[in-house]
Amino acid sequence: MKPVTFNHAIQLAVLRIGVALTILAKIFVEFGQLDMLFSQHGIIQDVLTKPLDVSYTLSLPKVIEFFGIGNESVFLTILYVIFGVSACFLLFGFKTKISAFICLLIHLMIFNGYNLLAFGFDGFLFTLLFYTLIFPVEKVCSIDQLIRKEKQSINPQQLNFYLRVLQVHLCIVYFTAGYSKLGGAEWMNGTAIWQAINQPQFYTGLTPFLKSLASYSWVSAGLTWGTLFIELGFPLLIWIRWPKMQVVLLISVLLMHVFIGAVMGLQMFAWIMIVFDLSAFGALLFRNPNWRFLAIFDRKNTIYEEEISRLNGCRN
Amino acid sequence: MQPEAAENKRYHPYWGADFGPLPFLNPIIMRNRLLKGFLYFHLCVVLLGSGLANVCDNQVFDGMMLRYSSWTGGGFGYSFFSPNVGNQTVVKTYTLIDGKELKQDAFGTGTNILDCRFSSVLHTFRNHKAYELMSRVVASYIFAKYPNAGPTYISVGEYMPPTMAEYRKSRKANRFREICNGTYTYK
Repeated sequence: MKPVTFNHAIQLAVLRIGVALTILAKIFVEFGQLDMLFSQHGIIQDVLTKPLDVSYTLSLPKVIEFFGIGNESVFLTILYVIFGVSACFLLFGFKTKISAFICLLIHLMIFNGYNLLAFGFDGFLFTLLFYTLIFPVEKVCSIDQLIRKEKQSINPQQLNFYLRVLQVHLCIVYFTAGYSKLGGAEWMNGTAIWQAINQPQFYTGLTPFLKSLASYSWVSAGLTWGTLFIELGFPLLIWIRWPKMQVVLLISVLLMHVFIGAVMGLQMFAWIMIVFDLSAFGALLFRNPNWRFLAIFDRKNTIYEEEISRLNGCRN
Repeated sequence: MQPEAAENKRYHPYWGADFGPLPFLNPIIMRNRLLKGFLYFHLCVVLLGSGLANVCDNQVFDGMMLRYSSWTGGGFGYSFFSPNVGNQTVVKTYTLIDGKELKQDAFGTGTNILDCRFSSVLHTFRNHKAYELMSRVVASYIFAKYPNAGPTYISVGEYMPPTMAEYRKSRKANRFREICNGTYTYK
């Protein structure tokens, strides 16, 4: 029999662990400024949130108002502590479903209540938290799986379908991002990257070096059109069963996000996109995995792997 | 029976567990079917909400998309930095403290998480009324930050990058172009 791999199921673990780490990083960054960010006395006050409030969403201001919470500062601190504990549980896969639900609920309340303060990173965290809740992420590399008396395995067809959902969603994201840039003059004349790295909000230690490079029009054009090519090409070419090209494409998008994180200072956004990429297509990078390492996790599910490999023709 | 065959028998070729002659009535199979159907629907909403195609400008449709995305995170737009990157909007404040010291602050420059998120607000609306509203928000923040603050001059503007040739020649810095300004006092 063909040697088995554990790659695909591990992608679900990548999703769970990546999302949990993202939440912990978010808490670490925001914890000191909760009052300023998410209270009615903060930078976004009633005057801005009330007109944008809609009845059908669950949001933080609504919860505060409903329960008549007077001390918002204490409430926010407790909420973030619960958020952090749930994220730790999610990280290790302990009470995974409940932890994922609590994390999603808290993030949803904050996101809906302070939508004006949200950026791309928050939207992707929301999306991936939702997938973490509905996919069987607790069945891979988790404490839940270790302590359960009867080992549960993931049905190969279902696993394949879950991964396909992630893959299609990711492809929609990249293609939309690329397609919407096609009409822009800056993207067409190759100056978009020059414009972006000149924005003060994206200033990092690497900015002066990159600016001196990108001030040559061919460098800026190369980076700009390279970004466009990756965003438009990835969702189309990744489905072609040519392993080397698939690996190159995946590494290209990963490098693009590393660039965004390192040069533009958008580390959180870069991280969540890398988690999305790896949880959707990560198996591409592990065609020759370390069998001993994988055997640690792969005690029961081995017989399904060949079937998974066959089903996921585009990957294995 | 071989252990492998026994394991394989537990699975229906399409829906998972195969427990009897009427597999479609099995709750596990029904749950899996429902989940599968829901995920197909979810992907359709993701596609419709992505902004890839302008399906319709209907308020009911938009409302439904917003409702769905506010609970599931699916259906957001993904058009980052498009159609153009544009210039960055920044709010600068000049505050007189105790009538003798001039303090300068800038908002929207991405120095910390609060500033990054405030920058997101600034870029949500690009019109004069919104800039005036944001100026008031910033003024209230300034008066909370500096209890002895006198009048504060608030300037909302854009940073315009130099051309590539100008930068190569003289390392010219970005130019600040004021869009909106106002002087505020605390009463």
